[in-house]
Amino acid sequence: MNDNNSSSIKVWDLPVRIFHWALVLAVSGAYLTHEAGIEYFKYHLWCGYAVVILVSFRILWGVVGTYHARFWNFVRNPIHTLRYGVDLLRNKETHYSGHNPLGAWMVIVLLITLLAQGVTGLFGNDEILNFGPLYGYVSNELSLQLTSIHRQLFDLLVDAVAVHVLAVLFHLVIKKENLIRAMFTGRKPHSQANSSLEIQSSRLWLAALLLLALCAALTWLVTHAPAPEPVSFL
Amino acid sequence: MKFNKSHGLLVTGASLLLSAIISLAVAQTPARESGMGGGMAAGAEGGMGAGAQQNPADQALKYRQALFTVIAGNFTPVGNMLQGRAEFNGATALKSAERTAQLAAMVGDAFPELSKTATGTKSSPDIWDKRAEFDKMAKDFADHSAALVAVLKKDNKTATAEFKTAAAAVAGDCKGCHDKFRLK
Repeated sequence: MNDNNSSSIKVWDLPVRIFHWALVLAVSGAYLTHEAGIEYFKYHLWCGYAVVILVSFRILWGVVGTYHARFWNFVRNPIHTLRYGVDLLRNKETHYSGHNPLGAWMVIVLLITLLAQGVTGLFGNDEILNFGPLYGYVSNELSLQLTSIHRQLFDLLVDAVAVHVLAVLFHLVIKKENLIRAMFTGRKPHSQANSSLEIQSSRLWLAALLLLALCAALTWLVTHAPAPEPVSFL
Repeated sequence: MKFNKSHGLLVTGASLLLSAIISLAVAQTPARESGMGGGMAAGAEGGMGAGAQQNPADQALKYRQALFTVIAGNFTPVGNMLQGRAEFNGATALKSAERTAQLAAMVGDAFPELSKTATGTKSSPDIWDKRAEFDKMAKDFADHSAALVAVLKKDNKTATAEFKTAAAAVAGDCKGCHDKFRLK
């Protein structure tokens, strides 16, 4: 690890890396607990909380986080992005210290889709046994509409995740860029990153504070939500 | 690599706006379906009083939606007890289970072939394209509801582990079929 430090550039701070892999776990968990059956709903909910918290955190971190985590340091305009795509297909050397322009848009799409997926789930209900924790804030009709979106968005999410994973594999196999390792170590080789853009700190205290605030806010919302009371006629 | 910051902010803002529009478009999808169905249903209902006939597909849809409304209403007491929203009450649980079992036996017949084309239905065409699979799920629902009745008849003094397992199996049948044969 230590000799790594001299020959590589640190680009991803610890919060970004933890966010990324925790999100992978939370999303996989949400899928599996849905498939597992209706009695695992409680755990589906926990995974959903994790997704909402993580994605909200990442959006805030895109404003106040370290250099390569900030949206305006990595989101490029469409023309720039298109040019990058063409260069990529022509096999030109195209390295970005942080996210590349296409990856940047993938980040935006995934964050928005996941946030929508998480939030609609919180208000949903399955018309059988289970209610999302924020169901009590909305009408039953709206809850059903949000549930429908929650079900439909899943298909979009699967496509987006597939594109994301395939793109990373493309970089690994064709471009010889190991983005997966970088997302674990936070470091990219000198040849693939600009040393003047190396990050110096992970701003861990700020990250912890944000995370705590988000958890507190969600907890408040959930505990103050009116409990669903399905009427029994018997 | 150089990138103008205010420009970047503008692009980020624009992308967020674009995504918001896309999400809104997605949100409109179910509304559009019910809007179409609503228009047709209103026409059909308005016509009934005047002696006009409802077409058989829409009539079948109406029947089956009523059936599922009554199933939900009769399973709710057991559901509430299972999820801790209500205290366990043996007599109510048995009544709830018995009615659910009776109604579950009607599910298969509520999906006649002619109702495949009903306007505004949430039934997937797979119900008729994979009929054997659908009938198997409907039968499981009926069998598991009957099993729940048997469990409660044996002992309905307390919420036994057996009761919870049997009730969860019935709810699981609802979910399994919705996931597979209900449009999103």
